[in-house]
Amino acid sequence: MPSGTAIFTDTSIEVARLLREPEMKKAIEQRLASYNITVSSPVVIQEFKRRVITEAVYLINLLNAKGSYEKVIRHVTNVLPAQWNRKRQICLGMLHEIFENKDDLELTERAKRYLRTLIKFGVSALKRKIGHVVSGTGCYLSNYPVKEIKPYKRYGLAKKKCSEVYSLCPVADFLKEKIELCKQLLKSLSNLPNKTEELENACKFLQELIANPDIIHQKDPCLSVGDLLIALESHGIPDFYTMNYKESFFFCDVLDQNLIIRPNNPESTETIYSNNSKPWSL
Amino acid sequence: MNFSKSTDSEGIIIQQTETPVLIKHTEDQGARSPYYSLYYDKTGTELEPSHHKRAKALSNKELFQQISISEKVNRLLRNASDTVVNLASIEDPIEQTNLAFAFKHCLEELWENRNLREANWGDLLNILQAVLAQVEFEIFSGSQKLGIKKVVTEYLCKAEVTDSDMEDALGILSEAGFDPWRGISGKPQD
Repeated sequence: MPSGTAIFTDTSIEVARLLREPEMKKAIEQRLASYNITVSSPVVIQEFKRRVITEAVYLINLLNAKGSYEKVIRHVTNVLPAQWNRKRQICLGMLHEIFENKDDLELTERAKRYLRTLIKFGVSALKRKIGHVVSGTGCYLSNYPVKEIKPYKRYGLAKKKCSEVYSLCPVADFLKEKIELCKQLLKSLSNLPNKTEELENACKFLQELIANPDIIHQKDPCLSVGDLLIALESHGIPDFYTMNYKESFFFCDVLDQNLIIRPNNPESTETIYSNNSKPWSL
Repeated sequence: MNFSKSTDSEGIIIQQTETPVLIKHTEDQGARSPYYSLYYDKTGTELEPSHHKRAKALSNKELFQQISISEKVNRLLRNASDTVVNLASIEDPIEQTNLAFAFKHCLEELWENRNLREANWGDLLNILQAVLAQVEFEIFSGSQKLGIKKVVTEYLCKAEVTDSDMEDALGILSEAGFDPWRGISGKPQD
């Protein structure tokens, strides 16, 4: 096992490392370069698949249906509800800057080729970037390959629910191993006023886990409480790096981790909350 | 109708076995097809209607055309490979830029023939072109030139680009200082 300073990267950071603008990628790499080891986890990989690869398949379907790169760009902007538009991870708009003076037909084909590359090789590129992946939950679906049924046309996305693969996935065993830590989290969560929706879900999930750990896979942990699982997987790694801080404030506090928040604007300075400077301490 | 035994060009005896039937090939060649077939049995061989022979002749013609196009693609690949090998050994920024433009043109010519090869090959070509658009050729770094050279000579020039080749090539480009995902990167709402 390599030793040295270590940082845990969550899903928001790993997606940004692969798919955000160059300035953001540079800012993240600068932060990571100051550590000996960067670590992530199976649930992060599973979330990457669920968010990014699903979106890539959506866009390739749109490109096939509309037959036009420009129409798809307009469609996504105008039709997709605002809250979903904000969650998008893939930026097709860059293609017409890179391949300037190319017509819509060619840009449509290039977009499809890019998306196919992402669908087929995005996860392996992500794993290569991550460096170290803790065994953590051992999430079965994080290793389940995307099936190409017909190139550029049809893709079989993996299942999303732990309950559908419970006999193959050791997530329940992982949670049983961490039961004492889960009790500690539940105790702190119960005392926390004004919980976010995700933290409310985590609280309910932990109650059900402690009451009956043997059937916890029925609650689809990866899908319903991804933040909680990632926090548990990161336990023991001193620094936690994220762009979504709402839930991380709480988890890092209880798990005694330093929290480093990467703002959405690449020019903004990162905020670091060390063990001694947590304004949210419970 | 009376028919006598005869031989075809290969010297095989042709026998009429049943009442001869003239068939006009309108279904597979369009309503105005001028071709008719008269079915015979060749002794020792399987029945082959004359329209099959014509189809075979046509496919041979297409095959030769394909071979010719494949040779063209191979020639373009050799050209791209030679250019990128030279590019990797040059340090003069003006010569380097001229070679990089030549290499860019090679890739554009290959792109014109992208559909002759497997999906991975065309996808890798797409990524290479996007990667090349990220740099000013005058300041191409040594590691970038070596990365491009490796991907072109060891992967793009292969007879078949496999999934594992694609993973390796993407990794090499990243390690060389390129961003293979630049074409779909950015602020998604932009």
